[in-house]
Amino acid sequence: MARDNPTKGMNNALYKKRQRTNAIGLTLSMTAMVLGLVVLLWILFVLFSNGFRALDWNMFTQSTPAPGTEGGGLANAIVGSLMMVGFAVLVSTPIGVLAASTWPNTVTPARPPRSRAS
Amino acid sequence: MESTMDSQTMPAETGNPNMAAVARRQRWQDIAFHRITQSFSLLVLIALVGIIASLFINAWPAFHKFGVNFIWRVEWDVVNEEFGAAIAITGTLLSAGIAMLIAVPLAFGIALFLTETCPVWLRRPLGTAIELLAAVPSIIYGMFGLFVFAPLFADYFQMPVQQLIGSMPLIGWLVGGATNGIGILAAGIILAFMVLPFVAAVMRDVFAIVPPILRESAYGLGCTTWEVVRGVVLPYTQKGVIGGVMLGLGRALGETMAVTFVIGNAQRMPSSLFSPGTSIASTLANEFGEAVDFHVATLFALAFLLFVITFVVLAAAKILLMRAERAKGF
Amino acid sequence: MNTKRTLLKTVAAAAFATLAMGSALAADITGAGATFPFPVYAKWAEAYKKETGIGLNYQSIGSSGGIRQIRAKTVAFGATDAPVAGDALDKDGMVQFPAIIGGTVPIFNVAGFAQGEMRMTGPVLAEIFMGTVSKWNDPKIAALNPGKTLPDQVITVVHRADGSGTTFNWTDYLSAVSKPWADTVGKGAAVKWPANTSIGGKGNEGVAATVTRIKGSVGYVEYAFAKKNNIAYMALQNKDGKFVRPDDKTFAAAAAGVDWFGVPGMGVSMVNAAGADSWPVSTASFILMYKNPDDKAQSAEVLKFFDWAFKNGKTMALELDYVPLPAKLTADIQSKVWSQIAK
Repeated sequence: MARDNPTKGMNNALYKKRQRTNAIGLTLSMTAMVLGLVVLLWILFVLFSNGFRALDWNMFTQSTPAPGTEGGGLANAIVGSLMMVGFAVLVSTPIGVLAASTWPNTVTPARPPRSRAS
Repeated sequence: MESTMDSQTMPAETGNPNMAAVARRQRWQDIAFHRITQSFSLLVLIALVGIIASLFINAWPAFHKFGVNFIWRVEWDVVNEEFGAAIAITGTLLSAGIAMLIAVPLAFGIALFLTETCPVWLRRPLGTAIELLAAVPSIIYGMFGLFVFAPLFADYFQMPVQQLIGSMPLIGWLVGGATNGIGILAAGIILAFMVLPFVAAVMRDVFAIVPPILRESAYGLGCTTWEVVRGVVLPYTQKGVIGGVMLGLGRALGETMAVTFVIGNAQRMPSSLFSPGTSIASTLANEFGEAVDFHVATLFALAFLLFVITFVVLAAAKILLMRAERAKGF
Repeated sequence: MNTKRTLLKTVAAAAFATLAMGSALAADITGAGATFPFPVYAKWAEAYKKETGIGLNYQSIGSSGGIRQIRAKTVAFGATDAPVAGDALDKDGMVQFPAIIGGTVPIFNVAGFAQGEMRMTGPVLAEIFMGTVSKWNDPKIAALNPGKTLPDQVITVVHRADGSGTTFNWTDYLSAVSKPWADTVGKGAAVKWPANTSIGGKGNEGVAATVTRIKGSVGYVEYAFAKKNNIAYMALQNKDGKFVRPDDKTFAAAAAGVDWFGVPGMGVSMVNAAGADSWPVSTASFILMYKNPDDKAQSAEVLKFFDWAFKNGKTMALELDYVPLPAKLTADIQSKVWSQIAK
């Protein structure tokens, strides 16, 4: 009986095809993942390997000097970035949070959503 | 029996006058809160409309001189004041299109791996690496493109490909032109690198919130992993996936610095994938500083057109999404 | 939670401290404009501040930006590479004088040529940039460089993608030496580049980076860039027929033969200057100031700064590969131009 032998009469070809599709799909997605990660890690690597040499205490404490002068750092750029981002977050967060909260969600839609049952 | 406190009932009848005061105060607080959030929402809308209006007003001299033909005019001569948007629009659409074609499958692969087949101990670090890359400023990608990617691209991709299919009848023209590592295809690839972390992060997030019961029911029925993803996860998360793709596309359309470094900045219609071109954003970035009078108006006109393109693309995506949801019965 | 709070507090405190320090030096003079002289102005400003405590706040936003800002009176002086015409100066009530001299050089990427070995003439260079001469082994180039093997390679023309005074200087030169160029392309801060291989790079750095990465390319940058990054530049034939290499001597020779006060507003073009040793693509960078400024004190400070720079800034300018103005010229400027500025 079919109960004793579960694979008897099963469409083997269909099962094999599904397994093949699964294998191909997963391999493709693995390849996509490997490609994507290789790209991303390459950029991170280039960034760190080229930038690491300049990473020292001076970079955080000294300002950028005139062109042609040795030494100096990025302190002014860092402070400028922090100030800009800080101010932007300060202004945009209340507006964004308040704009997205209660009022838009209480506006009645023009047409009630259809129920899944119908 | 105390009735439930909601803003409609006046519990004065039930007796306690304190309760009435509390209810009245809460009602006013409710109304005030509604009005405040309403005004902030309108503020955002007004800001958007204000930007569009100011773009159009500043662009008016250009639209007045060239009319609607400005959109498909192939010309960009600063000295003789003859301008047309076709070159920039082509570059923008081509580079963003190539970027999405490359980034979406790769992001899908990454998201699928991270949610289905990745060993659990590896999920956190990989996910963090991807989010870290989404935070890298776009000019880094441009510099990476020009200094690291372009020479390798020229030697190991452009030249072999040109030798391979350059002489084929139908598609040979696609790979013609100088093989110096910068151009429309290079810009599209660098944009793909830039957009990939965003789309991958969003896709991974929406894949992860699929209720386990749905997945496990499918596995219980005997579905293979691929069938679970295609038949259960993707349809459930289609809104989020399309949202992520739209986010990436919006960034790709407007990206400036990553594109300017590698697109070649040539005000000519690209004749092949390897030829240099320009996009709207890089034209604006390059020419705004030194532009005078009429030239400024044309640049504003280009900016307005970019706004229109982005709006059309996003609206099309929304419509697509609505149709798909309705077909599924939502 | 506690560490986050303390970290936030330290960052905020640092930001406010820097702000406070910055606002204490309120006596700075402001200027805006050309990017070409920015390195030397910045160097002068640093040294001037050490000596007098007054700083210079110079925004390197480009020549048109500088003209816009001085017209809007948001800065005390504007700087421009492309001189403003005399009648425009009179209409705005401004004076103009040169502050520093430099040059634009053609750079290229072809193997087998040492620095300055490739010889070129103006007309042939114009043909290269127009696209009529399209390969390196073209007979016209070969004739100028006998004994050298030139590759059979397409010439990729690299130009400035952004509008710039350097482009103005370069196209000014090409217009002066080639009538076809003058007729079809003209001169300007941004032009329509005719060669069908032309690519744009952003800024001097972009052009330099592109030329060094693309074999067989040719472009133009400021001399300081080419020298600092060791990029191969060409020797050009000047008006007197001699092939000269760019350096401060040839720039100074070009400046020596110029009749500075022959054009109203001193807006003389130095391209294709006469003189056996002149570099044909030299340029000056100009300063714009009001004859009747609103803030006379600031205006006086600006003049003091430039007076100091003219006297004490010569070595600094030479170190950065610019050419300081000769002493007679600065004396003339002070007597004829600065005297027009109300004190």
